[in-house]
Amino acid sequence: MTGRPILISVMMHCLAAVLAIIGLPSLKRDLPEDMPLIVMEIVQTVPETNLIEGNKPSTAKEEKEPTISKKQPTPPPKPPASKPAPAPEPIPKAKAEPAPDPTPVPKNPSPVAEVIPEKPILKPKMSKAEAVQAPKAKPRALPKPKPKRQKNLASVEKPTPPKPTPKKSQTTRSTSAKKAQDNLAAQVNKLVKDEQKRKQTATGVLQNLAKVKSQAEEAEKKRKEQERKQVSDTLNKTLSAAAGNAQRAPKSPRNMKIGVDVIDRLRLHLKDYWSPPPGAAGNDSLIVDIIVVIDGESNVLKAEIKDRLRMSLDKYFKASALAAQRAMVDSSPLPIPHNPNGQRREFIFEFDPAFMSR
Amino acid sequence: MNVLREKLSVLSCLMAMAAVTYSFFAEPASAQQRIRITEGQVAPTPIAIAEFTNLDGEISDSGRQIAEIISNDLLSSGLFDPIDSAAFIAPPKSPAIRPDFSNWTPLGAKGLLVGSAGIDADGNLQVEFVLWDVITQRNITSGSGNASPDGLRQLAHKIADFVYEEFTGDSGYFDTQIVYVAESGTQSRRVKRLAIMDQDGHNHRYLTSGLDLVLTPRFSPQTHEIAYLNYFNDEPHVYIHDIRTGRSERLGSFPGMTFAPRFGPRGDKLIMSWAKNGLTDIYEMDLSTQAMNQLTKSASIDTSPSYAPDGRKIVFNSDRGGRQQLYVMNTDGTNVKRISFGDGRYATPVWSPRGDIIAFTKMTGGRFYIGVMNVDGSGERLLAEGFLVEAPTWAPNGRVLMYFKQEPFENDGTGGETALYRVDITGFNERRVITPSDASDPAWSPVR
Repeated sequence: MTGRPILISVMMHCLAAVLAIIGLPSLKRDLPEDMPLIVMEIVQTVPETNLIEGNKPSTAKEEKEPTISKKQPTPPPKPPASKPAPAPEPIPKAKAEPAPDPTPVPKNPSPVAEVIPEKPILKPKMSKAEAVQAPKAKPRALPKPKPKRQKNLASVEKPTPPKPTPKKSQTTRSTSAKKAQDNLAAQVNKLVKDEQKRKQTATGVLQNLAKVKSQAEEAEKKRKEQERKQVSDTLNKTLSAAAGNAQRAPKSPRNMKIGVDVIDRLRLHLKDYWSPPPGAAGNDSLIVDIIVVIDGESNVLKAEIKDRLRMSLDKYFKASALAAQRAMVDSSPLPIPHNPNGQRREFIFEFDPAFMSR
Repeated sequence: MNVLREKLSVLSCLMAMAAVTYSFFAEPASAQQRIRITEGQVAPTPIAIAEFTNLDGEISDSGRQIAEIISNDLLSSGLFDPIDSAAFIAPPKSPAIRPDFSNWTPLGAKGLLVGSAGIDADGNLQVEFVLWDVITQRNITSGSGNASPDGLRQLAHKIADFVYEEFTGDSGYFDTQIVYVAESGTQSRRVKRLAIMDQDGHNHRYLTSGLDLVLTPRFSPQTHEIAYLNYFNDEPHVYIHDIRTGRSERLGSFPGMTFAPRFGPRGDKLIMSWAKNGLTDIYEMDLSTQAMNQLTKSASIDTSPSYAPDGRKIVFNSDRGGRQQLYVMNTDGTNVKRISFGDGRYATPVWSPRGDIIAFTKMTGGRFYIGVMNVDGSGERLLAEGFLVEAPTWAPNGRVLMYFKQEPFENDGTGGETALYRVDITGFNERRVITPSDASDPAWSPVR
């Protein structure tokens, strides 16, 4: 009779093993091509996960509470975050490399205007990143190069205005031909000199712009790296907190241990409330665990019977469990020192009716 | 083969990773601090039994009667302390309405029974009830039932059984009967006849006329048959009385004397003592064939046999060791072991319906005791004491013992009052059972 079930069991195990082997991937197979890594994707996922809260020493249990996650609304920090966003504005100006076109000096303003549309593209990137990072030290590091860039641009533009030169050329047209020729030659020389100067200044501006651009790029890179580091740090911290809380739970305030004197007081207190059913007499297995949650003032918020399954199967255990649960609820508040933080605490009360057999 | 090896290594790696992940994220068992409570109190549970209302929310006579019967049942158990209904702040109107628990917590009630009772179109009694936990404010149990108006008391006993079971874990025993020997007359001309009543003393009636002396009645598991010893023409023999028909019948026709009968757990066998040729041994009778099977063979007196509830063992008393002691054997008579080793004599052993302990009568120092011990003879505890206390019988839940107690006769022949008592196996709550006359040899029926 027992051979058939064993045979079926063996067959099922073999089938499972075969399926596992067939279904598993081969390490030597051709791997799909690596997709380019988009860093921004990591940044974008962060605001939806509340991981930023992990910057502060938070526990996994606190994260579960919706109030905490909702109370952390990143929106308030957003406005300050959007402020630093204008900072990158200079970058588009620096992009105004079309400016190097020597002749159309007046065109300088227009490239700036053309570049402006690029700002909205950058701004969201920044704002998202900074909404995550909040008003941290990084954004402060960035503004420094910005004013420099602005100053450089201003200083370059001022000397360049070639406006006076056209005025002079118009006046010379009314003089005599010789003078005009001499003047023309002189003007040509001047123009050549001015052109050379302008070229020199232009190359200087370009060099400055290039320097500023490279500085800005480096700063941008640094900032992004820092952001990435921060995000990864917060992720690591949060994960380690979540795992660590489970491993080192007693250290969290929720599970803070109470002293022996308090336990003695609890025992004395509960003695008046706990009346085990007489059916428990002589039955050593009727030990009941009650999971008790108390608030900051030691009021019993929840008294839950741990072994619900046995409760549904064993009527003696059910009666014992209900009696213990009644004792816990009835004895509220418990003589446990109040928690100044008002935080909930959780204990397991083990009710052992062995005294009835004595 | 290489591919297979590779895949196996991948499988083992995955399993290892799963194990590591589980061990990392699994909640540690000792996350919360554990506080052990080892002291409580043994006290009756305060409970409020509201008078049952009719469909209009008014308290009816039958509703009042039901509540009274339930209260008395619970009070008699010694495990409950029914609260006086006069103290109720706002009696509930219907079991369908959730009670206002703030009216019950000041009374100290831990349980609250609310019910309704009414007569339906067929003239039957319809009952509904809900049992509440006042402390946790939860519905513990609820139920309904119907019976003829004559069945009101039995219906109320069954509701009391519900309440008892929910709070104690033990099965209730209120819907049971007691058969006993009703005694009357002087010491020299004693009349003994069979009588039966509900466990609370109601519905009392006599089963025999009293012309013949009767002793040791025992209920069958089916509750409608009673085996007893009847002295007909001064010859003691085992008889069976059918409660439904009211007829008694002698069990077999054997030379000698048969006595101390007791039914087997399934009711298909009867075990008894048979004295013949100067020897008293234990025999088992198959009730369908009335064939006798001898279980003990000794020169001593073996008597008062009682089956274990699983039918595999028999406990009896014997003087084979020189003094009356308790012995346990297999149902085929083998593997006889003595289990009582205390001072004095032991008699009338009865195996508990739970199967874990054995009740007995003990005689030592000129006094009688009712006690219990484990099936191996250990853990002996004495529960009652008297000039003469004897014949323990178990309530069907194995939680309460009943026995009779006789006071000594005076020199002028007066006194000698004999009455039934019951006591919790903890030794507390000894109560006298009220009977119309003197009473002895009680036997508790199974739950109806």
